[in-house]
Amino acid sequence: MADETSKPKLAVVAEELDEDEIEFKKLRRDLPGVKGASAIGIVSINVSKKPETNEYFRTHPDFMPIIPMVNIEVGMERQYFAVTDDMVVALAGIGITVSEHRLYMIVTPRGAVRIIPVNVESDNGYDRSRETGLIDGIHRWVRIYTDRENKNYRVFPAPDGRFSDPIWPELKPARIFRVAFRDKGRMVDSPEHPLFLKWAALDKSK
Amino acid sequence: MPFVEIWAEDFEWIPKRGERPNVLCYGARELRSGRTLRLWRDQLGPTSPNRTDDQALFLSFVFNAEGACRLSLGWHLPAKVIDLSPLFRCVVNGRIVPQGKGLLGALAYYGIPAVEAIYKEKIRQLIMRGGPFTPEEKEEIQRYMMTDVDPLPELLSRLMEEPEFDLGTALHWGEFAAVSALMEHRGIPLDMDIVPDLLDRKAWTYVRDAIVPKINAQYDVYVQDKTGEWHFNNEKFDALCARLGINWPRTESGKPDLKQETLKSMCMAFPELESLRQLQHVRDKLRRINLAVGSDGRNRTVLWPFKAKTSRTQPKAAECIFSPAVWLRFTFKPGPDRAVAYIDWSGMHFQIAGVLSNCQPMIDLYATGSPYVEFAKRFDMAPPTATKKTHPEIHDSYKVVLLGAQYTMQEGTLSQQLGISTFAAREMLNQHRGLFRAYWAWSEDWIAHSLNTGVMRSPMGWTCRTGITEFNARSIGNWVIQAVEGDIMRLACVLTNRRGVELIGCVHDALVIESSIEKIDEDVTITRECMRRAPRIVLNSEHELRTDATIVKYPDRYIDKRGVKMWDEVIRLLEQYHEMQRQKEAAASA
Repeated sequence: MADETSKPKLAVVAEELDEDEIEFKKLRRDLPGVKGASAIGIVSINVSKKPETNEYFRTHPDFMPIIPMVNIEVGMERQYFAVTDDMVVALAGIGITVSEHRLYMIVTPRGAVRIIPVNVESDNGYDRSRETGLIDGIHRWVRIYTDRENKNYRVFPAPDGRFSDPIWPELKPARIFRVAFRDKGRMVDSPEHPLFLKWAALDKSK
Repeated sequence: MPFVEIWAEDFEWIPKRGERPNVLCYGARELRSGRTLRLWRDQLGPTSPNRTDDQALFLSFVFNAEGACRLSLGWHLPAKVIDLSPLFRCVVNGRIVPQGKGLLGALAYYGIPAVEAIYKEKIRQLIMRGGPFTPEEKEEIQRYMMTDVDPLPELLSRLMEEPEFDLGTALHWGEFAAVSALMEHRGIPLDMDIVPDLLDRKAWTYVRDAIVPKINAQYDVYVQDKTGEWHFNNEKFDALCARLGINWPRTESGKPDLKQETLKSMCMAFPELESLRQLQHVRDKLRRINLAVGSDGRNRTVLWPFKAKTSRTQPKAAECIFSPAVWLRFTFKPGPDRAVAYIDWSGMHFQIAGVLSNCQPMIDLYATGSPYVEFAKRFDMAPPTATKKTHPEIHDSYKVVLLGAQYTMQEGTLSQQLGISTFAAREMLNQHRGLFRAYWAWSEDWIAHSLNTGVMRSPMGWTCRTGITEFNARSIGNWVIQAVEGDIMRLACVLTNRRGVELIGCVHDALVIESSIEKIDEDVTITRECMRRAPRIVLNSEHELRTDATIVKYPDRYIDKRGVKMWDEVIRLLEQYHEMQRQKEAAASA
């Protein structure tokens, strides 16, 4: 039997460049760093009640602020309005209730980014199971499906290897918040805000 | 400049299709000493009148032409060359150049005095007329030649002021221009038992007319008019598509879209239409075969390195053997004791996209050796044991999907090309965007960055402006992949040439070499190694590109499976034509 210690040790070593390759490598320059270049143009992020039914998504692991929000139905659509802390009492004065929402940012396999607010005070089965799905989406690709009989959402993981890791837009949290709410006029931050004035007028007419 | 001598040079020669340049005169001026050479053909010796070692730098505009002249005289190519043409093209790429990208356009761009275009044309006509030339004409031609030499130093100094200029890069591009000259000089060996027949107008017209009913029998899309002329019939073509279940793309007027590109991509999905595509090409484009063939039986044409905006070599398709008429490539045949090899990178476009965007799923799929089938497996569209050989139809379909998606093909086009529903096509494209998200995010960033900064650059220094003539996002996104492919191709050619391999052509993603039968295997190994190393340098990555090699040894010929039927038919008809001619001659002599 051969002596184990006498065997040459095999190791992977990096291939060395020859003279020609060194000459040409000196001419080479990295392509410009382009990461985040397309994010400069983002001026709006959609805010919606839930991820599209059956569309797979991932949830951002860090962006999860809790903010007071007004949510109202406009026609068939539910609209979300962020509220600054100092406006909570003023809104209560005109009969508008505010509740704490946790904001989740999701991305679809094709790169669509959305903010999904979830009412943290609600016991509603849809709200709670939606949040379960969103938290599950931090670690893997999932989709949610409405279970009307049980009044909640079912959560399904994507098959292994179907999607690559999510790519998040190169935006800081403050900017995300700004383009999702403030820049679209959906942040009630003063009694002069057009929405506040509109709701106040409606309250007076009651 | 670290050179003892710097020469600006130019040749005048009589061009003839397929032949090496017939040199008339040579003019050169050494910039440091002012030494001037103005030599007519009978004064040109067997060796270069100026030193060509690495202590001498040569300036010219389109050096592959000057290099081809040097080689035709039996002179050495200079070790160090700066070709001002690609340097200028690089500066104005993506910009509007009112007076063109030739020497006169470059001089006008920098406001350097130059001869009038009318004068240039007059002398060109004189040269094209051919000899013998009177002493006055010789003097005129040589004086004109020096007007192409004298502005070169000033043009170089202006180009050196451009931010893109880098001496190392300029010398590398010059070396590639020299290798291009070598490839043009050598040419591609053709089967001269058959090529003269194809070039013969009468023989070819006979074949062209007779081939329609033969191929048409398979498709029934041509109809014959009263004079016996065959015409393509749209209604019959619609009927054929209906029989085969193909949803053919249409023009705005509702007629079938029969553009060359559409036919080519549709044939990828429906290979049974390949012979029809080639027949269409023969009928519409090959009224006459214009292959540039020299008297030595070699296909020789100007390669036009750096001509494309991505810097890729772009020879005239009609003159080159590697044209869209794939059956013509069957005439590519080495002479006695010789062998040729066609070596191409496999999945080049896919892997470069993966490496540039650092898209791990793309890199992983390429590493499997069959990215197209493996992609299908990820989405349960192929059984786990499927391979390219066991499931060629899946390989072909997903090749269309993966390459088409990279070119931002839309679902409508893909559904037509694959003969599937729009819904299924959309799902396939979404699969691409989902699995290769990193690539798409990088591509969006690249487009945004290119438009924001107004410029794109390849790793080896080729640049293109954006926002002046370049606005199209698809074109900008694709530019970088193509430009990197150009960088890799140039480097592979230079490395291969430095190792003494006889390069005879470069075609999109392939190198073509020639050697003796005994040495071909060794040369193929060297070339493949150079083709492995070139992308490693350009991409600065350990992720390599694979190559495939097709070796052809005398007396065999190059074969492309797509053209077999057409080639067999052409050969049969040529024999028929000769038999007819023999019978005519026999009847005449009787």
